[in-house]
Amino acid sequence: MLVLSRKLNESIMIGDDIEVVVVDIKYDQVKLGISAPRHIPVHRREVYEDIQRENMIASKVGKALVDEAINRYGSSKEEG
Amino acid sequence: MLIETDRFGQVEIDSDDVITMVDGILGFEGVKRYVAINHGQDKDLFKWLQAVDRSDLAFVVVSPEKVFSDYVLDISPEDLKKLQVQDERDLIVYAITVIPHNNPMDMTVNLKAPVVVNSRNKLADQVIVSTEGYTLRHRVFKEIGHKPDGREERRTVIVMEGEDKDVSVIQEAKREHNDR
Repeated sequence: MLVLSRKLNESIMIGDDIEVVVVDIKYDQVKLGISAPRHIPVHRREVYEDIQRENMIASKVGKALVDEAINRYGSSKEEG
Repeated sequence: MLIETDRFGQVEIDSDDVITMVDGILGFEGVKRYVAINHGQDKDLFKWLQAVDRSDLAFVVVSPEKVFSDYVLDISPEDLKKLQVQDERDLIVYAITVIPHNNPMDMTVNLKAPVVVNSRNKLADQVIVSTEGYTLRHRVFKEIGHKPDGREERRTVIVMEGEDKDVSVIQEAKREHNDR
């Protein structure tokens, strides 16, 4: 991993068109500004991890639960 | 072709129906080939994305536009390119669904990262959409049950296809939406 030191308002370039600026430093938090072309998706790493976790949970759903959901939905609709 | 599945036993599928993930479902990147299988009847709300090469791996999915009448797919140009989409009308969207054991009515769908299929070439991927307010855990049955904080909850219409009454509710909602 390449490690660079940057001060407030200094930036790094990734390729020709992605710029990462240190916008603010407060205590243990760094605020980064990212300017990149629209076709480059920028997401926090946590988003990917959250999606992975959610997929993991979803992969464990069994057939019977779907049947139960369909049945329960049917009966709650009759009540309502 | 015949495939093995843990949930459905042996299933005969048409090899033309096999979809291929470009990058893969996050956390399952190595599994590329899936097939959509109906849960029960043809017209049921739920389908399964069953892995072709892994019998134990399957995801329950719903078509988000059938659950949320105002559903909008906001997909990035990069993702469209990846799936080689020429016409956005070719896209099929599946939202991965989680059904909790203790209370199936608390089921949630992942609107933030749906699986999108180009029905022309059967290329697919799990994409992250930029639509504001779409979450990984979007409740399906919002209108049922209590309102914990007293705020008015948005009414969510859920449709089991083939039930005429609910279909008309959705059509009305869509019409209103379009009129605005």
